[in-house]
Amino acid sequence: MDADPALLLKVALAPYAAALAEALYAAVKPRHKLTRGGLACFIAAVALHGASLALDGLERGRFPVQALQQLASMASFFMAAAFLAAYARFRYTSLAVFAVPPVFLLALAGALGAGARPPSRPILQWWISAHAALFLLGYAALFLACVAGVMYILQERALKAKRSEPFSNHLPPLGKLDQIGYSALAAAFVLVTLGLIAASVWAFAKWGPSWIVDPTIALALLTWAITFAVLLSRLAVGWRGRKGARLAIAGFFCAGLTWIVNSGAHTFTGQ
Amino acid sequence: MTIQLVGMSHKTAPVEVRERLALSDEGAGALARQLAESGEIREALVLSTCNRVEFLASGEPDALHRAVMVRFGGSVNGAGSLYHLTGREAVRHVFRVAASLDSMVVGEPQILGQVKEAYQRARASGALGGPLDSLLSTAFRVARRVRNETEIGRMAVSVSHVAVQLARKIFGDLDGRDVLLVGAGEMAEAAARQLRASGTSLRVTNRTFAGAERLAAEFGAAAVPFERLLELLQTVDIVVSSTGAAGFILSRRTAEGVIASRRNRPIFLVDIAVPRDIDPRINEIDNMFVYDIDDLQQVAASNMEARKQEAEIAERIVDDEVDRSLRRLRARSADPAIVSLNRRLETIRRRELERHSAKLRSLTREQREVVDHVTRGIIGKIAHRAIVEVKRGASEPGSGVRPEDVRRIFGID
Repeated sequence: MDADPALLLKVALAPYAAALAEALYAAVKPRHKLTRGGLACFIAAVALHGASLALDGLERGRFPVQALQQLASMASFFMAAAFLAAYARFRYTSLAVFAVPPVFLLALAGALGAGARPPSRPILQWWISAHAALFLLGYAALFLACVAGVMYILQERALKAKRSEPFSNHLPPLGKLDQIGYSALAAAFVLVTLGLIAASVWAFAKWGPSWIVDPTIALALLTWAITFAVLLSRLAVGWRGRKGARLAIAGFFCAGLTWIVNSGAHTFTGQ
Repeated sequence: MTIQLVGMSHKTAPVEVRERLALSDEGAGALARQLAESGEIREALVLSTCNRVEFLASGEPDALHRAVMVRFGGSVNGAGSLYHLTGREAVRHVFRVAASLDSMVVGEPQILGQVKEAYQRARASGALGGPLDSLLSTAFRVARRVRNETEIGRMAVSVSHVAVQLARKIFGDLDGRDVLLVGAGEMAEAAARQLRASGTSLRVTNRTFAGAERLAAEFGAAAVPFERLLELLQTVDIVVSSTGAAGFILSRRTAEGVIASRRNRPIFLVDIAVPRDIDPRINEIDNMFVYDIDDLQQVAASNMEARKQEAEIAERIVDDEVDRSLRRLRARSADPAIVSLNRRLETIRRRELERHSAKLRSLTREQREVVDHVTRGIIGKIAHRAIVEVKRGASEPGSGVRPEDVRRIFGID
């Protein structure tokens, strides 16, 4: 049987769901510690998911982000990878409680639409593929910063209120969350900057001097500006801790929102 | 064969009585050996800590109690403070002690290590090696389970420990963090000591420099003049304050300046002074965390409360494990009967084969093997039902057959 990318993604949903179930259980029962089993399920899911995306890309001969579902699937994969990278570095499984649900939902969205092939359009050039990949990775990093921000706010609130909350024992310390948020933000900034350069090269080649009015570029610029603003507020103004956490959350949602608002103008087929 | 326990603890006897029984480590090991050699007792263990002296044994019913009374009857006058538990109650008690549910501070971690040491000593002196041995291994597993499945040991219940735990929640690793101790005071010094044990570096200041130097000498830390307080506040991570000042030594206004010049690097201010040293409103400033003595005590108290709740969960775990290990112990009580049954049948088989060896000699090697195989099969089938029934009788008293019935039927002496 030929490996079918859509089928692979659907198969990946099973271990994703298992990991999700454990993450949700841990969210309700702070006493429950995430097990190796949950993590193993998640890693298996990510591997299947990655294989599905790679096959899809090979089959089409291009970066497989042309339809909205594919974008969802790709974004979910990158978010999952960002979570695993953060876990490898910081070893806090409690991140999973916040990170796994959106990963699962996006993968589900991707799987539901998978198989419905988008109309055949001119091939995306290399530059625009690079732009898409870099931006998606950037979003994934912003997402991680947002997750760390949410956890920071929960932990900080418990500490300021001087209550002994059971969940607070299972959240990472504030200093670590701040560090995770900052690292993720810095990574997001680098990725988005590179993605912006890639988009500019593509738009300039396509549109010539009027490239700057291209909606792809406008959107990319806006996302870049948001990431830059969040990072700057931290580095230059010294907004860290709660303010930094709030900004990271706001940054992620603003970046997401601008993208949703503009997605009508922003096509993935290079038109 | 009965599991039995005799002992006294902080719950039943004051220290004046406990100390009369207390034994050194070597003494406890030697006594375990002596008890186990007494004939009526098969295995023994002696646990002697500052809060309890307990003797644990497997053997004839009441043998342990008699042995203890012979040895210590005089010194515990009438033994009103001794408890004597057998069977289920003894097993339960051992599990509860190992899991730190019977401790003065429930959940304190030392007791498990003490029980383990007592176990190692008793083992080394040859006083274990039967059901009591496996019961103790189970007790260690139960203690681990309680530790992993409940929060019982994770909640700080002393003010200084709470301070350290909060610092960990703010900064994560405390290694290399800077702590400033302002003023002297028993509780502040305890907190500083605990923080230092977590790898922080300590500086000391006091309103009089002589006082600071005295404290510094005590801690082996650097003394800093009080005038430099504001400057230090810009760099240190944790402040433990306990001066005799009448008013705040750190006002909200000053604190706002401090956090700005720290570029919002978080600071943890522990105010153990009464009257307070640090304006509590500073807690409203981002990245500044202020806990006064009441806050710390309140966290400690609610942790204590939480420990009690956790202890209830732990008790359920213990009950569950007691049931299981009693079932196992009972099932194993049929083992000797089963072993002798198998030995008996095998003897019969051998004897019969020998009796007919002259006739069997003419058989080929393969044929002899078949005979051997068949006869083994026959005794196996005969024994099977008996083994099943005697096992059932052991694990569910009142059903199946008793070991002595099997012995009688098969003529085992």
